Amino acid sequence: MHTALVIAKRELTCQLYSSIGYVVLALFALGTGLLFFGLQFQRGAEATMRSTFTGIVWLLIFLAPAISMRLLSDEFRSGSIETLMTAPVSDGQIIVGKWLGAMGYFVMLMLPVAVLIGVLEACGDPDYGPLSSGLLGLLLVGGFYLAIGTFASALSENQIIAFLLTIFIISFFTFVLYSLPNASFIPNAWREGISYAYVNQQFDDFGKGLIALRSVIFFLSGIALFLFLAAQVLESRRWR
Amino acid sequence: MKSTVPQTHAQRRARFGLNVAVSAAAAVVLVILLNVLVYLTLPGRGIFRLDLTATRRYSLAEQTLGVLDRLDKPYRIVSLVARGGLPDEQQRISDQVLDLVDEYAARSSHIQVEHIATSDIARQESFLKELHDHYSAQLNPLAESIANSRKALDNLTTLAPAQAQAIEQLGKHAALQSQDIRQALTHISQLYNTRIMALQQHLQRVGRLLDGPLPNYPGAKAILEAAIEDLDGNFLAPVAGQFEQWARQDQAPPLLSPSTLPRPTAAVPAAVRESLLQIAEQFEAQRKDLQTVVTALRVAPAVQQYEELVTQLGSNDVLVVIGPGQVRVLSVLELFRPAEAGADGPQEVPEYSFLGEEMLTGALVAMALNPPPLVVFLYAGGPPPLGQDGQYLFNYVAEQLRKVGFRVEQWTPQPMTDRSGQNTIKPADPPKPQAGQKTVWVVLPADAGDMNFLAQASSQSVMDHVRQRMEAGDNALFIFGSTPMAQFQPSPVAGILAEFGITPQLDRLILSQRVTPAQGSVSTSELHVDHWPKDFPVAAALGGMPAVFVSASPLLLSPSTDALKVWPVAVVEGSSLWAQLNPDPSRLSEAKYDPAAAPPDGRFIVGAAAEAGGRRVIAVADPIWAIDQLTQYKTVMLVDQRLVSTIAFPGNAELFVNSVYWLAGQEELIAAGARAQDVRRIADISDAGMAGLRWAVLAGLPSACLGLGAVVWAVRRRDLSTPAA
Repeated sequence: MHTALVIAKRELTCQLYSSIGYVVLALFALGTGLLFFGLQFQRGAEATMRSTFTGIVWLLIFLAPAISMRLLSDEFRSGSIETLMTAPVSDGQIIVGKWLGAMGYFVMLMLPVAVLIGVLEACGDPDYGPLSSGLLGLLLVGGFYLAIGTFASALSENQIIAFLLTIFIISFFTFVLYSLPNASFIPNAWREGISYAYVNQQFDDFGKGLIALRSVIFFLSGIALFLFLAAQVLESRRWR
Repeated sequence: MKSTVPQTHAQRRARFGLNVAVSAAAAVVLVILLNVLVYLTLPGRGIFRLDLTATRRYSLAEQTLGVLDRLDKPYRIVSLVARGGLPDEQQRISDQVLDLVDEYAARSSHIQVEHIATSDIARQESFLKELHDHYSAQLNPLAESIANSRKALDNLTTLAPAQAQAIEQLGKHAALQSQDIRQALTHISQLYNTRIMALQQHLQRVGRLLDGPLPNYPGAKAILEAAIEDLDGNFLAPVAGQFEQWARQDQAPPLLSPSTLPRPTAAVPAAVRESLLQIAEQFEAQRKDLQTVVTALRVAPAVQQYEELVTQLGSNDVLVVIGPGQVRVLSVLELFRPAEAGADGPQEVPEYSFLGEEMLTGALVAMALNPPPLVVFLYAGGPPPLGQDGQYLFNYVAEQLRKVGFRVEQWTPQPMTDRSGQNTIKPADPPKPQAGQKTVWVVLPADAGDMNFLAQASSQSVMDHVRQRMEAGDNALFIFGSTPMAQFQPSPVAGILAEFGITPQLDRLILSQRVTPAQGSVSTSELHVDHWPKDFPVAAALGGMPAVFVSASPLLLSPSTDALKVWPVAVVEGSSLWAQLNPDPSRLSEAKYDPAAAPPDGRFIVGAAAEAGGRRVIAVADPIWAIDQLTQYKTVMLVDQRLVSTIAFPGNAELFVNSVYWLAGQEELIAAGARAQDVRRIADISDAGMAGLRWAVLAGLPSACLGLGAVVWAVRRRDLSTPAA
């Protein structure tokens, strides 16, 4: 784990030293601010972040791939992956380290959200239960999307392809699973089951102030699956 | 021994590739299986979910959990609620209702939930059809009689044009000498055509009412009855009579529209006479058919539950609870109630308490009642309290009780006189509770609300019956008012209430003095209440509900002991209240405030409950607090920039109904004080403040991030340009 943390620290430092990281942070701050004022913050409205959180989950469809696209693709492109793979580090440690680094940056992206919560506190008396669960939900959704991004990044040396592939997979868990239950060819009995895997529905409870064990299991198992797949892809490079 | 190590690169690729593919597929399958297992076995609610909201908004109360645990029959809750694309506040309400319903399903395997969006017309219609089928057996006689009536009227409208034409032709008959009859026949023909057109419109309206998944049989029945009666009574019968009269050359006054129909001035020729009699016969035959169908319509039994269903489903958003043999509809609007004023300080946005859980649980409990409690309105004389005659009726509260499945009856031990006032009718036998059936006797004043008579407490014979029933285990709600007789002889009701530690001061009337700009200081017996005692469930559930008492007397309560529990239920408060001894009803407004008769703590108890030895009573010292005029009194208020007519004193009916629930031992039906909503809202920020915040967040925050990035970039650039030591 220590090795993974070292990799994560290197990854995070790399993000923090990159100007692009701050541009993304600024764009995210603008996006969340627009969501906050557009959907939520009005005189007399309920002092919650539920709509903002829901909006952020949609933003993450594009944001997470942007963070994760370079995780491994950049290493492949620059050739630095060879150094990593010859070092006494397992593929799993590399993948987990990369993902943790991306998560660290993702947590940093939540700083504007913390500022918005501060604004809410100053102008109202928000219930911190739903705020905490909403933040936890965002971390889980972010973690899930970043795991998908890590997997996609392991598949290609081209960052753009990794970015598009990530969006493609995330779209399956969002747009496709949202629309599929409404399709006429889907049997009624399956509709609810299919909706279960719809990420936004899984997040919904978190936004309301609820932490459902099954939602936590859904996200953690999803993260574990895509990190495992990424490790398998990385390992395959050794014998390809 | 043969080596299994691949020898070539291709072999190695194939082997490792297969290995990776298998392990990846296994991982995918494993995760899918895990989630399928979780989905099937781990509910997304209940104990496997943490509710972090301050008020535990998404968790069910212990009372509800107990009710759900005791369910042993299948129930279905179907929501017909608008979803998506709603204004924020409406969306919040919609979400809250749907979440609650889902929580019930998650907590009980006996409850199945279905959400039908109001935009899903096809599913909605199929569900309404299903509800209709639920009552189809009971509705068959009515539906059949309506179909027969429509058929009879259809036949009539088919024949009518030919008949109208024949009448018109008759008016032009060459042998007919009388000009007046000629004109009259033409007029009748036109009238007939007009009537038939109107009838066709009625039939179209009936068609529209019946054309839907939930046909409005009562509405169709009413239209058909009225149309047939009108056609028969105002056209067919008089015209047939008139034709016969003309045929007989009778000089009697005309039967139809005397102002327009003439007496025959000349002999009606035989040919015309024959035709007139023929048409009259046809009309008589048609009348006979119509009378047959209208009689069948009248006697067709009304299906009250279905009628209520049709009315209630007229609301936009509803929850339909379907239990064994029963269907209940809860309007989403009914699930919200204005919070108690001043509870959280003045607020710009009116807060509403969510009563969804209480109402839904109440509906489930009510559907499980077997046998349903019996409520008997016991009156000493005068017009029955449940009916159409009489000034002081209790139909509204009785209806509320019927809605939750209670059996409601009325009875008097007094012999009655018939409408002629000549004959005495022996009193009917009192309603007999079934074995194990909880019974509540609502004891009404001798002459409810008769201010001239000052509403005596019920007569001795009523009290004897109540005492007898209470000894058998029944409970009673006593409604009474002040009476000048109280100073001379004790009221019979006082005797029973004394056993429960309640002493009514029936020789006093509570008055309040108000200062009005126009009249100066005025006394009134109208007392408004919107704060209720919180230590008794019947009253606690009314938190914030306005009620009114217009002729209240004070009650004195003994302190509670282990054997006797006494609670105030309704309390009037104010700085200028007093209990006027023997007031003059005609000069109440002139009564002067008497500080000596004012309550020491500024409040009078006007309603009280007591429990002793397993018996329960509730006493309310105002003879008319639950009559229809007060419980249904409406006022107009501004809601969402629309004027809405709403019941002004909902607390009156609610107090009555909750009292009966408590007396029937059905506390679970009482909408226990709405859970505090604790809706935390954003403060009223000035325009400048809002603009400042917008700028700070939308411009300041991204700029700060960019600034930070610039600093990092500058530092990095400096570090990189500095030669290593």
